[in-house]
Amino acid sequence: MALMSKGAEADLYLEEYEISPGNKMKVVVKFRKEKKYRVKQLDRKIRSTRTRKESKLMHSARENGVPVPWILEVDPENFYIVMEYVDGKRLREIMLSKELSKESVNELFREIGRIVGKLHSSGIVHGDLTTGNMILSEGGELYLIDFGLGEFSKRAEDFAVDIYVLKRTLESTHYEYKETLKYFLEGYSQTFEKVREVLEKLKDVERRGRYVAR
Amino acid sequence: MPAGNAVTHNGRGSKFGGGCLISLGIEGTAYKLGVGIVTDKGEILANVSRVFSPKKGGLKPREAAQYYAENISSLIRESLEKANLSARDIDIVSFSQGPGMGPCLRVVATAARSLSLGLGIPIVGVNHGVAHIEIGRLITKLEDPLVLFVSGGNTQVITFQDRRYRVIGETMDMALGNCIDRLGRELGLEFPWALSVQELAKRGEKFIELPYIVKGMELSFSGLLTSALEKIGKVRPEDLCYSFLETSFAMLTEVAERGLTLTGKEELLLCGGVGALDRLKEMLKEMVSEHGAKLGVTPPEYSVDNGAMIAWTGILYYKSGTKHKIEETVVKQRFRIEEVEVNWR
Ligand SMILES: Nc1ncnc2c1ncn2[C@@H]1O[C@H](COP(=O)(O)OP(=O)(O)O)[C@@H](O)[C@H]1O
Ligand SMILES: [Mg+2]
Repeated sequence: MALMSKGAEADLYLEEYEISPGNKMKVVVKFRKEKKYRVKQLDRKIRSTRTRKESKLMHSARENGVPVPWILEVDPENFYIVMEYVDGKRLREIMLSKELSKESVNELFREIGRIVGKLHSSGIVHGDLTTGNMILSEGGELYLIDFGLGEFSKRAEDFAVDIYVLKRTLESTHYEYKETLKYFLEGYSQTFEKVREVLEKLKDVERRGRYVAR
Repeated sequence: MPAGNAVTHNGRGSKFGGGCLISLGIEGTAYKLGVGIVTDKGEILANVSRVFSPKKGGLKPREAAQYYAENISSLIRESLEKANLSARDIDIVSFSQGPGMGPCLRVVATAARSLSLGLGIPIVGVNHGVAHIEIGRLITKLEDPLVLFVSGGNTQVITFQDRRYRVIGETMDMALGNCIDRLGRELGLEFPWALSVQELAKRGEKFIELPYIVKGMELSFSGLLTSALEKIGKVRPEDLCYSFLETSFAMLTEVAERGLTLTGKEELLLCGGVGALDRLKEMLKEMVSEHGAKLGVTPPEYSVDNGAMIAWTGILYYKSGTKHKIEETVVKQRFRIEEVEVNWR
């Protein structure tokens, strides 16, 4: 097993997986590590809930036509998921290295908007919608990953938090791309109906968090 | 104390040799009024403070401001005595320009302006959050840390990038310090509430599940607080405090850890009043060691709101070319840390 990524929450391994006799494919095993800093009870709860949730959400997203890796196996008691490997690069690195023109990035965000719109229309909140959790595949398809902080919800406020997290990522990590959110919202409104309601809630979220006097 | 008669920026002789610059800083954004005196060598000559402690619950900006107004002159005198200096030895005056409670900020700004005009010395308005970070860097000697800033009014993860401090994670509703205070108050504990909550928590035995809400780098504490308040009277206060701190500190540690992996920084600086709580330090230490990173904790005297941090940051601003005209010293209740261009790093 080759260690592929050591994240804050999980270790990810690249592996060969036999889906049927003689039929192998590359997969990613995502294992949520124990965190010694938190009490055992809380630690196990967080790791198993997130593992279970992540697989359920990704499964449901895929059924609704949202591009996410295919889940092959899940074991919440042992805190791991096996999923399809997506050959590509994270959007975060693509944007930081400026290998794409601003126009291409804007175009890409229009597509991301459509994808997230579809996700929200299916009653799924991502929970950590940053460019580090988007992979652009070699084939040019954009995939969403890392659903452990997500949830099933139909509340405009929860959707607004997704948009908020993405907006904050653009402002703090990709601050040269602040206008790019506009393109995202264009795509978003093509596949999601309650955009106005969500944008209203977004204003609330922003007021609450950042600009409240102490 | 170094002697000599070196000429400083205001053209006067100073008690300190080598063209040493002396800054007096006034902090007053919330309940603590502080005055500090610091040299440009980073020597802290005085750091004194007085706390307004509201008798009953709720934010009391006007009353706090009134308390400030009554105490500010004598506190400035006290700081000068401590430093063994006279007002004429001061080369620059700096003050907390924001963010904070308007009435408090205005008292502090007014005092700073009158010192500046009366003594004919430059004035610098300093961002409160920047000051917390800079005093932390001065004392812990961390070079380029990821910053976890947790206080009564702030819960932020901050990174330095392209000449600015940038908030990459933050509470979406309440500041953690404020929540801990609320819990302590509702439990009828003594002021300072956070320390009382910590004391009770140490005797906690049973972990009670409470809402744990983290969205990537964003946190939410209001659900946790509501749920904890509902449990008052139904569970042992010790267990409640224990579970509350375990849960909220785990949330902070998780976000700090995610921040470290996102930014690739190898140091973590803990600052702000909540940083004085032992269990938080312990958790962060454990987390940081797994990443081979270093943890710096600003000692309590300088991690709570204090004047020295304002004085020191005033020097940094001033030496990198920032001084303010009187009309630029208007207070900024909602002063965002990103607004400050950091020219000294
Ligand atoms: N299905 C996948 N295919 C290819 N790479 C993946 C896949 N899932 C995750 N990764 C890589 O592993 C990294 C971490 O995975 P992620 O699920 O985001 O966990 P975390 O951010 O919690 O560590 C991702 O940023 C990505 O680079
Ligand atoms: Mg991720």
